[in-house]
Amino acid sequence: MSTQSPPDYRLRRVPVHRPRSEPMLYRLVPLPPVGERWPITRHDFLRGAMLGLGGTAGALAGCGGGGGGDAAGVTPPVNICPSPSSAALDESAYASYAQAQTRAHAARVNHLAISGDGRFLASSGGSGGTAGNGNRDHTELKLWSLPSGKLISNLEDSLPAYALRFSDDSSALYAPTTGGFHTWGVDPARLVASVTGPGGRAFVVRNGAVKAAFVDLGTQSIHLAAWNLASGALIFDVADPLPKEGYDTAMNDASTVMAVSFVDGDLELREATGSRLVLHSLDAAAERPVMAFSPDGSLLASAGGRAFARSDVNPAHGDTAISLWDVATGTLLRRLVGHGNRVNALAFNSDGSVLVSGSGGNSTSAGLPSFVDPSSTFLSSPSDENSVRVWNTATGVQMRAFTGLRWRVNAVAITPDGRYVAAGSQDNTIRLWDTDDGSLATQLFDPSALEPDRTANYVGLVLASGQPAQRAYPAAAALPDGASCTCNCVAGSYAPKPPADGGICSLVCVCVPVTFPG
Amino acid sequence: MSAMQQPHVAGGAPPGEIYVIPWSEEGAAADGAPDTDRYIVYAPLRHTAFIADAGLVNRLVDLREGSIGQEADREDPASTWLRQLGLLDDAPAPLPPAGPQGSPLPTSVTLFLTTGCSMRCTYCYASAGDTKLERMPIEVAQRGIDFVVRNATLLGAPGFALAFHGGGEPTLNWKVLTGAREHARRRADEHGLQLTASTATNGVLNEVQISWITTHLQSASVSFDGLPAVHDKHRPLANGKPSSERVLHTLARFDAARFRYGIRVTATADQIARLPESIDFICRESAPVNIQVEPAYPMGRWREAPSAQTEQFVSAFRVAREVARGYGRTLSYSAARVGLLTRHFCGVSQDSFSLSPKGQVSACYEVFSEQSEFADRFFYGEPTEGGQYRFDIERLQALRRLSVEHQPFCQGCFAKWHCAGDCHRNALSVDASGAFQGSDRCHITRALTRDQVVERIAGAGGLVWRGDGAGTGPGEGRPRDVEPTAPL
Repeated sequence: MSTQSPPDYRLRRVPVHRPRSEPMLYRLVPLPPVGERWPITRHDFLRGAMLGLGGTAGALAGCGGGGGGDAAGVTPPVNICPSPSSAALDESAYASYAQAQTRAHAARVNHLAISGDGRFLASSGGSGGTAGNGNRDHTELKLWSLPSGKLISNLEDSLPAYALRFSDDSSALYAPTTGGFHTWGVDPARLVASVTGPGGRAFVVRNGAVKAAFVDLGTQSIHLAAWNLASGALIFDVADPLPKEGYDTAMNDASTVMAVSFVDGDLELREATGSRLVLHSLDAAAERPVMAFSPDGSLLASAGGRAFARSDVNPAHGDTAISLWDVATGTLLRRLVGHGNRVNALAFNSDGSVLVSGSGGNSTSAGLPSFVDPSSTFLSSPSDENSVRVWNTATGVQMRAFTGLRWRVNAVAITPDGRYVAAGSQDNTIRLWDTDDGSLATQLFDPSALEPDRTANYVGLVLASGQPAQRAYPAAAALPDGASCTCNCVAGSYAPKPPADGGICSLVCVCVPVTFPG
Repeated sequence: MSAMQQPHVAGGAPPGEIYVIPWSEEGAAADGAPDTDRYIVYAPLRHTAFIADAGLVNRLVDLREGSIGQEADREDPASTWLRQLGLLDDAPAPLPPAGPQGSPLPTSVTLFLTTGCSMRCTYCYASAGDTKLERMPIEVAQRGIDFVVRNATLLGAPGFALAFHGGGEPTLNWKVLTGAREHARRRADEHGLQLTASTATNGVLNEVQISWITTHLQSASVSFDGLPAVHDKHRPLANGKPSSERVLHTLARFDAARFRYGIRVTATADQIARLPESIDFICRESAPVNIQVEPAYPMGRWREAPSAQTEQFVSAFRVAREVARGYGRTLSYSAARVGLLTRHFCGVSQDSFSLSPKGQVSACYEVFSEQSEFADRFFYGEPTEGGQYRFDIERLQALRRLSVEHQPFCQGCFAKWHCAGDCHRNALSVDASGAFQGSDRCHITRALTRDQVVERIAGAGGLVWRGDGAGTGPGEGRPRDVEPTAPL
């Protein structure tokens, strides 16, 4: 306890820091709510679900009810419920509880990649000791079927990945980690190669070798190195000192140009060859920029921002806009303005026509609106804005904005055709949106990612749009009409079928490892 | 602040109820950038607020001081606009209503039914379970009820209120609790009065109690701290076992019965970081009408514990507030309430009529027994023959003088008509003499009050908030048509 001076906020003359000819009144402009909804309470959900169920409510009343089950399964217990029908479901019945519980990972999602054929999505997660929201301290690498949304495999990798990328033919997944460069086969999902060597986020695999660029924070130098993937032999490793504190790297698919960003917001485009010549020095006007090259290498997107959202920066002039650069000339093509918080992730679609970006901060202090000048019509964030935005790179027009996310977006990916965007978040979720109609297409779910003391009904359903989706529902809740229950068992395990006993849920879904007699 | 920059209070004397709040309280933004040169101009009694730069603030000062010539004044768009807002030469805005005078005639009675408790919360302000067990007999309860019924009749009030609170778990004196309510019901029916009955509870209830509460009381306040791991750490049962499962069961039963209840969350220093998660948990697991969050008070068993009245609490509260909003819920903190203009933080300065198990009259829920610390400050009455009470008028006047207009420390604070000096019992922990010198809660109150003012400005279109008076909830101030002349 400490005594204080009496506060004095009475009207008084205040010091003028910025001379101005006229007094200025400021306008607060909150960002309008766009995108997904979170307002449904358990109360509302239960009421809505019961209304939707109508006559089947009684039959389903016994469904759910929580865990149990002591079989030696590979997932925690998940209840199985009967399948009333496959009718379309009103998305509004999807409760906030369910969204929060439909977790893809048990820790925050850090990286995403989508294969070139659009069949697979890879995700990595890890807590790193700082994640909240019930995260557990471990790392995860998962492979998902994109068309079905089902988990294909939990890849047993104990090392956190720096990045994820599929091979050009979609047959392999590359994951540079803190302990080596791992190559995973996709079908079957297994580790096929591991070599000691390149870490860092920027790499290209070509002709049996991996070429990587990474910042060595210890020596403040930029490395360009290559390893033979089969033998692990180092082909070359050259390092150049950086003029100031480096932050991130990127490399074009042809591995001819690399980009390095600096903590202060500057960028350099360098040859990714023996010369490492600095081609262009750019001012990204954003602290700690992340970067992405378009697949053809002609465009570089960069964006960043302060780790804590500022309440006093007009985004129009501030540091959360995305810069789109012409790589050949080093000229700024356009700035994509919309994010109200730090941009953490960028990804292009296959022809570079669409860019997706994800934002969000760690801030617990940025709870207040930003300012704009009275003459401006620019929007500012009412709070710590976490969003995913989709941009037309040719025009700079924002095509979609998925806002209202409760936690920061760490990773984004986009299908080759640009139709679906995926976002991996600090809240352990991976969501996919349909850019055609702006709907939430699905939210990936691994039952093993449920909170330790929690059970849920894992539900397969059909949205009003006809899109199949998966959801986790509270264990004690009745299911909406149109829902059918499934178990999301990973490859190599199975779940016993639910009993056909008139719609009474009497079996706990436990994924049992498949064993074969020796 | 240098001598050159020392603020000069306009007009020398207090210039009325206009306050200037730096946007960046410490003079620097969170990232260390220089002062943003922006100020919230707030006139609480006029329900008016906007955000101005230093030039506009100083213009307001000049105009109020009359240091701008009449001709310049007439041509100045800023002065026209400020005059429209009533900030220049309007008559003084009325102050919030004064407190009670004369002999108390309460129409609400709060009964401290027992000092016993089924739990052993680490931060219990009452050290419940460690103190001598006291239980209120039914006669004490009936006498108090009869007294407020008589007052309600005398005053022509539409009804009276009965509440069970403090010092222990009221439901442990179940027979008296139910008996008191039945007695109140009979009296209400006899006199054609409305009865409002409520209780505070730790939520560890059996099925009979839950059913009875949902059918016989109008509302309840349940202490619940959110995530089971958080709750169970600090709110164990008396036998040391976790209590969260039982409380959650009670909440589920309340929800199923559509019973009105609020949840009181106490944040200890070690759990502040998990506050947003706890609020998320509460929002998805229950449907309370209100969620109140308070940092643990440094009293009782928690007297020597690390303070939770910190900046971290403010930060966590802001995040938790957004989480609650995501569910359409409101998070409240007792001293930040821009929707209310008052001279009184609580009933302490308004003749609150609370009865100890022995039947003595206390003004404070947290001073529930004659053995409580500071009992000599808050106990002000005792029963007499004939169902009456004798009041110590001198002590009562001292309590009434705790209203905010009598607190010199608060006079320059923009939050004073909302927090009204905050918790008087808590303030005594800072200065036992009773001379309020501010508490560690003051900065929390100011930060969260400022947030509410800003929310109102944003909610009113972003330029100026002109609410239509007190009594509205957060963000509910209705804007009036004010055509700003921007840039001024």
